[in-house]
Amino acid sequence: MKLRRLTVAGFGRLAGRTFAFADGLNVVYGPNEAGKSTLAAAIVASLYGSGRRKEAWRPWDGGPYATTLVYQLADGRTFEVRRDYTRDTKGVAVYDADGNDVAPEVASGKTISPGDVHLQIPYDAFVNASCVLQQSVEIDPERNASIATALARALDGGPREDAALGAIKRLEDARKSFVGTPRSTVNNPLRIMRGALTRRSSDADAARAARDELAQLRERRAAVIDERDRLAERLAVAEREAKALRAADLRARLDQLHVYREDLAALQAERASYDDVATFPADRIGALDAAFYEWRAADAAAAAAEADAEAAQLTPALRTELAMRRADAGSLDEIEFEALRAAAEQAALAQKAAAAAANEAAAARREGSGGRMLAGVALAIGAFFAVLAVAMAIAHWWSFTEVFAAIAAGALAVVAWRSRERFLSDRAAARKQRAADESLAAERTASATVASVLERLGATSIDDLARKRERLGELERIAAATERATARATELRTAEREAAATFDGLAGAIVPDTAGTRAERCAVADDRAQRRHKRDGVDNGIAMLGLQRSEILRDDDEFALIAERDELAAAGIVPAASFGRGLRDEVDAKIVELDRLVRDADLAIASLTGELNLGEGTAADLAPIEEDVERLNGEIARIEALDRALGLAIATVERLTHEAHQAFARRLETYAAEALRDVTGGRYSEIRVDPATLIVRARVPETGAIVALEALSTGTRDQVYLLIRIAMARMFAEGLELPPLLLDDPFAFWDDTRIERCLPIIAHNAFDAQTILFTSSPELAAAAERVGAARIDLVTAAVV
Amino acid sequence: MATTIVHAADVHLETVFPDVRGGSARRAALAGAFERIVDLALERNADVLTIGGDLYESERAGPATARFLFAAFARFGKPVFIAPGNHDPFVARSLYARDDLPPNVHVFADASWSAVPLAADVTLYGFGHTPAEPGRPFADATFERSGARIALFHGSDEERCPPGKRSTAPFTAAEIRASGATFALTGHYHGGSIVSDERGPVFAYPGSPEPVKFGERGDHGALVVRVGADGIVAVESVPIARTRLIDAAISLDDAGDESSVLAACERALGAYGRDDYVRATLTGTVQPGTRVERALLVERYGAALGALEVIDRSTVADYARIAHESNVRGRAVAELLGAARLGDEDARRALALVVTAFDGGDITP
Repeated sequence: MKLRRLTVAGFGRLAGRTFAFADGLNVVYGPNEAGKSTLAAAIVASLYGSGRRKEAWRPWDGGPYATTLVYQLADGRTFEVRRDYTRDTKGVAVYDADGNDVAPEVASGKTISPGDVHLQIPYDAFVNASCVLQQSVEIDPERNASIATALARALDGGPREDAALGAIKRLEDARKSFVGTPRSTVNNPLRIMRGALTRRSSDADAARAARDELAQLRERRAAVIDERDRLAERLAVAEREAKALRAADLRARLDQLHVYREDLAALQAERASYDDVATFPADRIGALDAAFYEWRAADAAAAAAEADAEAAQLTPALRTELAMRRADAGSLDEIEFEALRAAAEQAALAQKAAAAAANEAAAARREGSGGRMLAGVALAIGAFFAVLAVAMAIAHWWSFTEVFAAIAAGALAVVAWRSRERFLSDRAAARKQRAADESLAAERTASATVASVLERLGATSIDDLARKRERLGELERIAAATERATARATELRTAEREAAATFDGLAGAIVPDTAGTRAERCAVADDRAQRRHKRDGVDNGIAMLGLQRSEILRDDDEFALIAERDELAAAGIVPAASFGRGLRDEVDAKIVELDRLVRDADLAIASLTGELNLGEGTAADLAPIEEDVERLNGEIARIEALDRALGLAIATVERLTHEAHQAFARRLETYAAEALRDVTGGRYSEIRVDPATLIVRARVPETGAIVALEALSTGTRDQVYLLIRIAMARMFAEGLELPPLLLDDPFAFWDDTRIERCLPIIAHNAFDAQTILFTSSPELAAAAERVGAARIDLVTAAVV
Repeated sequence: MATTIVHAADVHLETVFPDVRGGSARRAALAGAFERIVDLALERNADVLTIGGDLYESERAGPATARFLFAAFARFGKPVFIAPGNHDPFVARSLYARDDLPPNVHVFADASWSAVPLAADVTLYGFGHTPAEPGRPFADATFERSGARIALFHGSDEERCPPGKRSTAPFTAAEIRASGATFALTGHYHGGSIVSDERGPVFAYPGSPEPVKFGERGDHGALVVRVGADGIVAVESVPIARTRLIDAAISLDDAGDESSVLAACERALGAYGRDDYVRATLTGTVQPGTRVERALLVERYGAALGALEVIDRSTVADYARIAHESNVRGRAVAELLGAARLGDEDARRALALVVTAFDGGDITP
């Protein structure tokens, strides 16, 4: 880069000035405060912008704050940078030689910075490498790293437009784009591919697991089918067993039916032999027999009764005695007799009472008397009526008897009462006497009555009469018995006749064709009845056979049984040797259970089959999945190979770049050492530069030690730094645009000798790198001119 | 009366094809080939259909595979005899052990010979693979039945083993003769061949009915074997395959731009069609800045093919010249070129990346 012209509309103390620069060495002369540093700063600001020092260079008079710099690159292109520092980024315009606005081409981020873009040197590096501003020759240690980096960038090899950094960036960008970085989560192809591989591998595992499950399901189903087949076989065996039992049962039943038919035929034949009594009313034989037996019993009873009656007949003597007794003792009935007996007793009592009464009367008379008369009358009445009552009783005038008896009783009661009263109170004695008299009288009367009756009846006494009466009774009983026997015999005979008639009637109805005695007829009837009963028995037998048949057949049809038997035989079923209900029930229960198990197994098989069909129908094909897995593995392998290749490329380029940087430092040392030897007259000829930090050290001739520059004199140190800057500027030129070298009064601490030695070096360097030397020393200015510098006087601002 | 046998092997249903796209279409082609084998057996009125192993890939076979095979077996209707191979060994969960295997299918489930009469004077001896390596199948084998004795198995002909092929159940022609077998139907090698001696055919591979891997040589089809009443065996190889696996090398020497690259590819691939599955390897040296984009080539030319896989082995021109540069690029190229020439694949890839990066071009994988 060559600076051609700087027009300062206003920058610091400079205003309305235009400075033209020559190729090679330029010397700007001016006294202090003339604006030398301002001019240097204006050049830097034109290339890089005012940055943080914008206010430092604002014109104090408030005038325009702007510059216009025209520069030319090594390829011949010319650019004009116009900056109005009051408008910041909006106040920058860059034009090419044709007047085209090329500001976007020189933008570095948001900043228009021709220095960054065309020089490829950042501001810090430019200021510290290409500028010595205000006597600050020493390179700012804090900027060393950026300078080193900038130099490294400038020296990273290849044609000018090829930069290892750019290559590394492209490689790294490719790595980011096609591989990904460990930290990136979105655009990370390798991670994405590995994620896809993991997912697809899971799909493959799932498909294999599903296939294994289906295989297990099939095995389970096969096991259930085997079990079902075993159960079916057992069921078939049980069914055969049931059929064998059934066959045995059928055989037995059909045998029973055969026997039944034989028995039926026999019974029917037997029945036929009783056809003659088919209509015989056997139901009436009981009545006939009963009638017969009744008749016979009646006949026997009548005969017996007649015999008894015959036996019970009275003898003539007894008959006579009976008549006599009836005449005498029989003339009184029991009541009369009892009355008579009572009268007799009464008489006896009366006699006793009379005696007693007499005694009492005597006593009472002795005690007193009263009411004897009445008492006596009552007594007499009582006794009288008592006798009358008896008489009435004898005469069977019962009502009178009762009346009289009642009167007598009443009278006697009155007597007793009256007598009692009288006798008790007043006429006890009389009563007693009367009682005695009456008693006596009663006794006499009674005795007389009794005696009359007895006499009439021919009894000597009541006892006699009683004996006669007893005899009469006995005879009466005998006679009665005879009569009863006779009557009974008659009655029985009558019954016999009735029974005979009944029998005859029945026999005439039941066995009309039979003659003979009743017994004979009855026997015939009985015989016929028996035959009829036998016939009925045969009928019952036939009916029983029918029941048996029903029991044998139950609800089955015989032909169906035969057909079933034949069917079982045709199927090879051999009837069981033994069978029975219990055995059949056991087999049936087994069949039911096995059938249930078989159906359960069928259900299980159906379920498993359905599950299997569903699973097999939805099972994923493994081949495409595994193919994807292998393809993803291949892709991952390719990406990893690309990653390795990119890594190797990046590492190789970085390493070689570092080596180049290392070489650059050696070259910097070599160039600077040569120049330093020339400048110091051989005193200092060896320096060391750290390529990363640019820290410089020099070998001290007195000790041979390599020491930091701070250990040297200020002048020597400045010389070293100036030469380092010049060397760096040359080395920048190797890769990029040569930056202009701006040296603002760098020789402040130099002696004239060293200045003289250095100027040629600077002038020589200026052939390649335009150098602008700022000085306030007229001698230095003249010396510079002598080595070919173009002089610019700040006072005139014109190239001289 | 003659007995006609149609023999096939190495169908490899459910194979995965990671080295070429169009895996689903390839698998469909394998299934279609097996259908054509059954069609052949029906057309030729074959008495039996034999399978010499590797009918399917056991790791991936599933219900759909079973449905397909069982339907094909049932469609043939006549006896099918299968000798399982190392890819479809007989195990409890193999398709061959399923309870819905059609009744006309017989599987030789043991790694020992068992005999099945095919006709009055023809006996088939079968030997099947189980997961364990079966050893030499004809060691101590003795076939003594009268008439023709046909052996069916899956094994490796030791004397004609293709390079890189894994050996299983090895045998020799002499062992077959010594066993008394009249003829052997086998499988394992994907290239079909018929091996004979002075007495006639000894054994035969039908080859896989469709190519399975790149580089397979030999016939791809089935065998029609006729065993005459006199016991003489006649073998006919019938092509079945309709697809091809093609390895194509496409030279890009001196191609200076993308259109040159496309033209070279078009010339090389123009001869192939929908039944061809092509693995194209780009070789040669292209000019700097020439874009070789695999994805573009696949997109442009793959549609006319069954599938197209592109492997880029081309190099950018003049690495040697760049290596002489004294700058970082030159030194980087020199270093990586040296390593690449020694076989370092990472260095070879890095070489192209470095040059492209320094050229400012787009780096593509």
